[in-house]
Amino acid sequence: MKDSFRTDAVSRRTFVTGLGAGALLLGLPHSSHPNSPTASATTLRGNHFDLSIGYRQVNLTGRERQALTINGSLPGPILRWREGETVTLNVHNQLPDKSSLHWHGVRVPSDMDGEPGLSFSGIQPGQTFRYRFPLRQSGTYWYHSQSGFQQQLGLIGAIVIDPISPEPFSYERDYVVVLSDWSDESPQTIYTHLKKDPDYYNRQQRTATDLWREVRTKGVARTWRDRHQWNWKQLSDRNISQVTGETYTYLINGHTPDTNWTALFKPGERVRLRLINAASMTLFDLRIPGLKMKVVAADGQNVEPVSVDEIRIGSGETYDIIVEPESEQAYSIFAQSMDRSGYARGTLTGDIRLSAEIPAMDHRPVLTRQDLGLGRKTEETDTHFKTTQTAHTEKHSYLPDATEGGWFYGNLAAAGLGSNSPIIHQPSESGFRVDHRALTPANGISDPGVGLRNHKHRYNRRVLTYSDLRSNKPTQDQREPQRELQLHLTGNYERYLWSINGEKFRDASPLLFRHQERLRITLVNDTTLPQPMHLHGFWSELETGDGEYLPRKHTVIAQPGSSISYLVSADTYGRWALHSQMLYQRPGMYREVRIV
Amino acid sequence: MFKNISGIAATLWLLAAQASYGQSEPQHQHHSYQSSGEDNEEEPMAEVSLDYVELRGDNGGEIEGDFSYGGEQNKFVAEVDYERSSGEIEKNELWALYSRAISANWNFLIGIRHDFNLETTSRNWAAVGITGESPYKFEMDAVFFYGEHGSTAFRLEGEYEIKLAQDWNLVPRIELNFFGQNDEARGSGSGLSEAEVGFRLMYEVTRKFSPYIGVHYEREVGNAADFAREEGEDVDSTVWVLGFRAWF
Repeated sequence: MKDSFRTDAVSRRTFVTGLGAGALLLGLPHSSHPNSPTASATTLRGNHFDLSIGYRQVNLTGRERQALTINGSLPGPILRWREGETVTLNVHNQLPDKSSLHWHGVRVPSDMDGEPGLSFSGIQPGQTFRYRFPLRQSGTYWYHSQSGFQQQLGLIGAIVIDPISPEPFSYERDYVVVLSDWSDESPQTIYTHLKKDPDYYNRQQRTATDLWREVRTKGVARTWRDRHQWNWKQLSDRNISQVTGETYTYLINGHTPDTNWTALFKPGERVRLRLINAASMTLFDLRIPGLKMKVVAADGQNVEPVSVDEIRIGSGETYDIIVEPESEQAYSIFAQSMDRSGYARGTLTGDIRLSAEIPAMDHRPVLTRQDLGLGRKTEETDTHFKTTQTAHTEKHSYLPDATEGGWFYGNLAAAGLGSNSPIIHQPSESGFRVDHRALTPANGISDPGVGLRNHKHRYNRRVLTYSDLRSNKPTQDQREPQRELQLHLTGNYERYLWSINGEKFRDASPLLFRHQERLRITLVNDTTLPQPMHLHGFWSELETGDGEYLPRKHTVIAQPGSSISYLVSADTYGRWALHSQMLYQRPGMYREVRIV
Repeated sequence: MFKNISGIAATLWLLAAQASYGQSEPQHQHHSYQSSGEDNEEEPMAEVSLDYVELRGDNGGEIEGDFSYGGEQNKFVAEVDYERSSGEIEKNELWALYSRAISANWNFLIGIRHDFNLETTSRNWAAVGITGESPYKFEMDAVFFYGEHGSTAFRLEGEYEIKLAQDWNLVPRIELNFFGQNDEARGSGSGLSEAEVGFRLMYEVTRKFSPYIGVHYEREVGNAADFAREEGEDVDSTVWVLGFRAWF
C-alpha cells in the first residue's frame, strides 16, 4: 500500500511537479522570454543537499536588480524530503555578509534551527554550515534567511516532506505555490522610509472627499462619533498594510502577474496546491474563481477537509488545498494583497493556450472599532467580557504579583477553550513605544480578519477562519495547561517602533518555559495591524474550542485589537524565537524563548 | 540678499547628502544584507527635513528645517529658522537640541538657540519645550526661552494637514510669539507680541518633495504693534508664498 502510493504519486509528480513544468510546457525557454525572472526553481530530492546562497541580476519589473538566490534560483529550489529520514544540508554562503537558513515550521534540534544569535552565529561569508536533522513530520513548509532583511531579496524556498503513511486524501497533481513580494527598492531603503514616514507606501489615506461623502450620508454627529476614537488616538482606520503595491510586485513562484505562472491539469483530476506565503510584509487573500478550495492541511498538518472560497494567508503560513476542475477551462489563482494595492496571479488550466480572466480586486478594507480592541458586543462576546471583567475585579487585588511578565497560574480554562484570564496591560506598556492598548479585545479565533468579515454577504464567498480548522488526529498532549502566558503585541506606528509588552527584544529577558510543561500562550494584539506570529521549535495548538482535535500551527495571525490562545508542549530544550513574521517589525517584536 | 539663505541651504544639503548616503542606491546592495537579525539593534538614523523653503511676496522668504540624528528615544536636533520680510531679517536662528521621546506622541526638548545679529547684536537663549502631535493630529511645538539678562520668551507653533486627495494637502499653520518683557530694539512687546497664520497648498510630487503655494499673514500685537506704529511701520501684512517642502 505504502509503496504503491509512493510510486503512483512520484511518477505523476515527476512529470508535472514544481515550477519548471509550467514554463517548460509553455514552450518558453527562460532565456528567450524577455521578462523571465530567473531559471525556474528545480525540485531537489533525497537526504543530502548542497545549497549555495548567492546573488544574481534579475529583471522582474523592467529594471535590473540584484536578488539573492539559492543555487541560482529565485525563489530557491523546492526541497523534497521524506518523513523518517535524516537530511543533511551543506549550506554555502557566497555573499559578502553573514547569512542563514531557517526551516520554517520544521521541528528540528535548537542548534539546527538557523536562527542567528540564538541557535548559531550565522553562516560567515565564504563558509559552509552543515545542517543535519531527522524529519518527524510531513507536509508543506518553507525556508528562508533569518539574517537582516535577506528574505525580502528572495532568500526563500519551499519544503515538501512526503509522509511515511498514506495521506487521508488523494490527488493526481501536486504543485507548490510560493507567494512573495518583490521590490526594486532595497530593503534598507524601505525600512528607512517606514521609519521616517510610516505612511510612505499608503496611498489609501482618508481625504476631505471621504469626509464630505461620509457627512452627507451619515450626518455630522455620527461621522464625528465614528471618527472620534481614531482621531483621539491619532490612529488611522486606513492603515491596512505598511508596505504596499506602491513598491511591491507580487509574485507566484517568482513570476509576476504578467509572466503568469501556469499549472496544468486534465479535466477530472484532483489538483493539490501547496500554498506558501513567503512574503516579507504581505497578507494575501487567495481564491480561484470558479473552484471550491478544499483545505486539507494548515501549516503542514492535516486537518479535517473544509471547503471554502477564499483563504487569507498570513506571511509565514502555509495551506494545502485540493481543487477539482472539471472541464479544460482555465482558472486564475488570484491572491490579492490585504489592502488591495496589488495582486499575485497564476493560471490553472487544462489547455496550455488558455488563460483565465483576472478578476477585479475587492473593495478596500477600512478598520473598525473591533480592530481598536473595542470589540463589537455580540451576546457571546458580551458574556465573555462579563467574565473577564468580574475576573479582573475579583482577582486584581492579589494578581499583580502573579502576573509579572504576563504569567497566570491556576483557574485556567480547560484545554481548547482558550483564555479566561483577565486582560492585564503590563506597566512596561505605558512608555513611548506603545501608542494604543486594546481595552476589550475580542477572541480572534473565528474572525476572518480585516476586510473579509462580510464577504459572505457581499460576494457570497465562504472565507476560511481558524475556527474551521480541526485536526484529523486527536490532540497528542491531552494535559491541561499548567500556566498561561499573556503576551501583548505592541507598537507605536508613527514612530515605527515594535515591541512585545512594550519592550523591545534587546531590553527584554527571555521567556522561560519548563521542559515538558504544557502551557497556554495568549497573544493580545494591541496594534491595529494583524500580526502573524511565528513560534520556533514547537507546535502552536490553536484553541478552537474542541480540545480533542486542536489544529497545529507554527504561525498564528493575531487579529488587530483581538486576543488568541494556543497550547504549547515545551518538549525540546534550547533557545528559540517567537516573533512577528512581518519583516520590518521583526527587530522589535521578537522574544527569545528558553526551555530550562 | 539671499546670501544667508543659500549658505544655510548649502549646509543642509551637505548634511542631507550624508544622511542619505548608503540608502539611495538600491542597486548597490551590499548594505542590504547586513545582518541585523542577529543583534536586532536599531542603528541610529539621520534625517534632514526642510519644512518650509519659500519666497514671499514682500521681498522676503523663509527657511525652516532641521537635521536630526539618533536612535529610538534620544536624538540630537539641529534646527534652522530664517525669515525675512520687506528686505529685513526677522529671524535668523540656529538651534542645537537634545530631544527625548517621553510618551507615545510627545518629545521633550532642551538646548540652546542662537540668534544671529538681529538689528545690532547676536544673542543666546536656553530653550526647553515639547514637540509632538495632539489628539486629532495637530502637530504642535511649545518652547520656552530664557535669554541673557533674564529675558524670557515663549513660542507656540501648530500645524495641521488636511488631505484633499492622496497627493494634495492643505496645510494651515500658526505661530505665536510671547515675550516676558518689552524689547524696543527688537520690536517685541511683553505678552503676545506677534502672530503668524498661513495656508499652504502642497502637491506631493513624491513623498519626499512637495512644492506649494500659499498665503502668509502676520501681525504685531499689543506693545509690539505700538512700537511698529511709532516707527511708522505696518502692523500687519498679507503676502503670497511659493516654496517647497522636502525630506531625506
